[in-house]
Formats: sequence, structure tokens, C-alpha cells
Amino acid sequence: MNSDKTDIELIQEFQDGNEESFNDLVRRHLPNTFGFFVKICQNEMDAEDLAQDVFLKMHRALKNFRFQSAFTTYLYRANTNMVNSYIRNKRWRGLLNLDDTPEAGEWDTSHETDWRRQELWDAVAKLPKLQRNVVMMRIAQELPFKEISSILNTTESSAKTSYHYAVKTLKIWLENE
Amino acid sequence: MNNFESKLKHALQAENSVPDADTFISGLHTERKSRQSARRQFYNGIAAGMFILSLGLFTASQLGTDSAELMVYDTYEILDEDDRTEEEFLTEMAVYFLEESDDIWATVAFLDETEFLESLSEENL
Repeated sequence: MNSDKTDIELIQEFQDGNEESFNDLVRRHLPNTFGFFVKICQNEMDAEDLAQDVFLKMHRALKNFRFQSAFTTYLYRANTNMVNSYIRNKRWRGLLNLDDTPEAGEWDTSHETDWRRQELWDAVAKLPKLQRNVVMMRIAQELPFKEISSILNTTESSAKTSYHYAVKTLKIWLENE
Repeated sequence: MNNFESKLKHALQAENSVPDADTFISGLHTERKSRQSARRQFYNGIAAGMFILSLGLFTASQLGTDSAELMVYDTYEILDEDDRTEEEFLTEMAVYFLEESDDIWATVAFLDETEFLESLSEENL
């Protein structure tokens, strides 16, 4: 295992044909990527599928990676896009009644939790796209605004404003329920 | 607001078990190969379709005329063939009647009544 190597070194080796370097990259970023998806999906199987799709995309895309941004920025952007398409699909599935409605309290494993995660993410999914993306990165991945703005190709102040409005909206929605 | 944010973060604190990396990577490469194979099959299908289509177009172009013209041409051919067959049949019948009859003038009169001679002469025009 090449755990002492940087992401850039691993990608360069992968581009030179070393498949094992890609595997090391996956090993390194799997916990964070999977953790992000599982927070949003609240379903480990869905989260694993999304993580697999992201790394499959990475396998194709990294062959032409030009090192213009950090790999993590690239990965977070892919994760966010994946979640957006997951939310879109879920919305359609909901409209078509393809998913069973979860049992009440299914996700509430902690007595200290004030809202069920399902309610929270349903509310997050209803936010405008930029606000939703900022909230996901800020709350689920705990990224700094500077990195969020870089991932979303926006300014830091725009990211902060979007986050502010998103939290305000969520507060109204969740506390009125 | 800060209290609300901390409640949000708290609500999301999930204790999840990360899947085993080696199993995940193995599944990832299996899926990658399967998708690669499906993609290759798709492109082969497209290529075969294109080949058949171009072969069809090439064959059609070799016929020289469009399909509508071919159909009309064939129809005329069939009609001409029918006319020739009918003419031969009538001529043979007339010869047969004349040979078999005892009274040749009565036979000519019969053929005249059936307007056979007129139709035969029109065709000869």
C-alpha cells in the first residue's frame, strides 16, 4: 500500500498504468465519501452504490486529470453532483410512488435527536440547488466556506450568504412542523 | 442561529460502518468491467446496425431507379404479358373454330358477332 504518497503522486502513477495506485486512492477517500452519502441517503446500501458510481467516474476521469485543482475538490464536486442526481431521481420515484414510505421513527436512533434525519434531508432536498449544495458540504462534510466556494465555482461570500438563507429557511420549515 | 446549526449537525451524526475497502474495491472493478463490456456490446451493436444500413443503401443505389418507378415499370410489364397471352389464346381459338367447323362462313359470322375480328385488328394496329 502507498499510503505515504500524496493524491497527486497516486494519480500520476495511475495515469502511468498502475491500477493499484487507484485502489490506494479509493482506500484513502472511501470513508469520507461513504460517510457523506450515508448521512444524506440514510441508507448504507444506497450510500455504497453512490460511492461506487463516484469512484467508477473517477476511474475514467482521472486518466485525463490535469491537476488544475486538488483531487479532494474534484471528488467533493463529483459527490455533490451525485447527490443532486440522487435527490432528483428520488423526487421522481416519490412522484411515481416507487419507494415505500419509511416507518415513522425509523431513522431516529437517538433520543437526543430533535428531528428525524429523514425530515431534515427532505427539507434540505427542497432547498434551491446552490443553497442545498452549500448546506450538504457545510453540515455533512464540515468543509470550510473557502473550499465550498472553490468546489462550487462561486465566491466565498456567495457561499456564506447561501448557507445563511438555507439555514434560515430550514429553521422555519422544521420548527413549524 | 448557532444553536439551530448545532442541532442540525447533531441530527446528522450517524454512526455508520464504512464498508470493507478491499471488498468494495473488488466490487468496484467487477462493476467497471461489466459496464465496460456492456458499453463495448452497445458500440458493436451500433456498428453492426450502421454496416447493415449502409449495405442496404448501397444495394438500393445500385438498382438505378427509385422504388416507385420500379413498381410502375413492373406493372406495365405484367399488363403487356397479359395482353400477349390473351391475343395468342384468341388466335388459337379462332383457328380451332375455323378448322373444326363444317360451315366456314357461319363461323366467320359467329366471330364477327362476338366482335373478335375487330378486337384482333385493333391490337394489330
